[in-house]
Amino acid sequence: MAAVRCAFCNQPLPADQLVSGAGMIRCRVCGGRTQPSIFPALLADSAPKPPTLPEEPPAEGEAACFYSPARRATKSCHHCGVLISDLWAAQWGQDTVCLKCLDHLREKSKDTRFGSKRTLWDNMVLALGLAPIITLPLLVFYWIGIITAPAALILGLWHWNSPRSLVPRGRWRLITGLLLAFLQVAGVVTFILSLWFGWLD
Amino acid sequence: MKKAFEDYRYLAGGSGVSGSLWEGPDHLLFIDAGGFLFAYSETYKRIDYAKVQTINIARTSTFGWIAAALSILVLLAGLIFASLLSRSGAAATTGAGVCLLVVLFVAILLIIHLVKGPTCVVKLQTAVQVVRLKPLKRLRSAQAVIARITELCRLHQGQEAVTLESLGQARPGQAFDQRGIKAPMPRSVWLMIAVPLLLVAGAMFAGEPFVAGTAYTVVDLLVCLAAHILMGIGLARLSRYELPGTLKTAFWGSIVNFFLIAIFAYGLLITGSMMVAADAVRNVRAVDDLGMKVNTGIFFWMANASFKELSGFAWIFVGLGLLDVFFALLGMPALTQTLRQSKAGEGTSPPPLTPSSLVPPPITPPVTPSTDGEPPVDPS
Repeated sequence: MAAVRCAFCNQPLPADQLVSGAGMIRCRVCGGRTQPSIFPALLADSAPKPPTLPEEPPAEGEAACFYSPARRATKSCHHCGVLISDLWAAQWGQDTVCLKCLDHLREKSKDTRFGSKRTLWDNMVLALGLAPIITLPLLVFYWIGIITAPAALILGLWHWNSPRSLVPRGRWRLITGLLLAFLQVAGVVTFILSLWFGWLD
Repeated sequence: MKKAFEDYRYLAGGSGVSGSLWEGPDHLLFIDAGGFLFAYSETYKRIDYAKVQTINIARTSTFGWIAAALSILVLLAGLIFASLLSRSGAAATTGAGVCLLVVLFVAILLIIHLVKGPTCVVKLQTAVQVVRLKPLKRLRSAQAVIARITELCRLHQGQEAVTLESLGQARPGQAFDQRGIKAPMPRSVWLMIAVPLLLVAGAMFAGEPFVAGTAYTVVDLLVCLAAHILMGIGLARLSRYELPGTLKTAFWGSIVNFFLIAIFAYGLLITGSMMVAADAVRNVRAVDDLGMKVNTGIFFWMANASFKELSGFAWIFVGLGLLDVFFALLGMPALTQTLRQSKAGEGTSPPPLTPSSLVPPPITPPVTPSTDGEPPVDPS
């Protein structure tokens, strides 16, 4: 049975209201009113099951799957080119890739079509550079710059060439964070030197 | 924010913590950002238009709450501004100037908020997941984006209409597919006790600087500990269920507040120990007796600390205590709702989860040896 879920509590919405064509539907569990748009995919297979994949040993002269030699190869990986059976194939947009390539492309590759996660070092450097300014009203964290400024400098230089967001953007965040951190470090060093050499006197 | 890159066209969101939504040739790209103030990581979710089952939009009450909070702030700052304006002196003039700036800033925020319009929550459902589209927060802009996604989904899925027959002759109360979702929270005795205790503990903690006496502090500590222990047990027992948002906020907020109280108490302990130790060294001659005197002295000093000893820091006591009261009050309505639901009976609640309906059967390709004598390959 296909279920359309409430936008608030994720519980199934009453099907009789869904099919009656009512715009707003009231959830029987949380009482929230939601407006779902339903697509035919809901009816296609509401309870997906693992595909039934009988072992088909390759006949004489047929190619065997690279990963499961007991299976007949039906496809080739668009990325690494090995012959694979249906069991090892994944459809990714227009491409067919083997599961090992899919894992590699998602976790390690810089290919924007496959990447699953990125750390935004430029934002992190900017936040570290701004931390003493943001926490200034709290007063008790006035010393935080001693830790965050060197950390921002190290991270910023270390990750100068690291990939930024998937959405292309410049280095202004990184540069601003580095500049702020540099000014803070320079300020602290000048203060220490002034104490050392007695410039303040 | 760029309007397009590679095959993607901009739909909604920005580079902040809400993430963004992009229209791809055959799929929707949802950039789910995580972080505080800035986005520190991005998770990319690609959803094929052909696999979208539903898009669900609901209006939320956040709009009203934010509007009310900003209006109160404007009103308060305005009142202070008016009272300072009637006074003479340099300090009053400076204060009035600051107040005016606050009034203007908050008023601008309020106007922007009102212009943007009502808030909403949008969830997109496929056969295997329900994704909250965080970039769609305002009803007006969300409706335009949903219209575009609907158009694309219809293009990839066809115009087939959903009918009573196609939904399997659904009847009211009929069982639904429950996979991938948690059941709503049942009535919990632990939380029924914990939340009122938290309310009492918060009120008592806020009253610490006003009430002297060791007994009061001991009772306050015990009530506070009991509330948090019971809350922890209650949370652990309810981990299988879907907790209402306000209750989640209340619990996690009170736990964070508990740590803040602990840090503040630690600071107080250090201050107290320094003051009492100095006093004990001055007045106690017997070295063997010194340790005991100091330990009890610190506790008594902390228990009797008031505005005189703590000066401005006493307000931190009050603030942290009131925060606990706020969290307790935040959790109360959701708890009473669960109580009402349990009294109403099973008729309104969804069918209980059975182990077979909780987790879909995993796809486990067999572990097979590779061709050239390498270790077995496990696709998982």
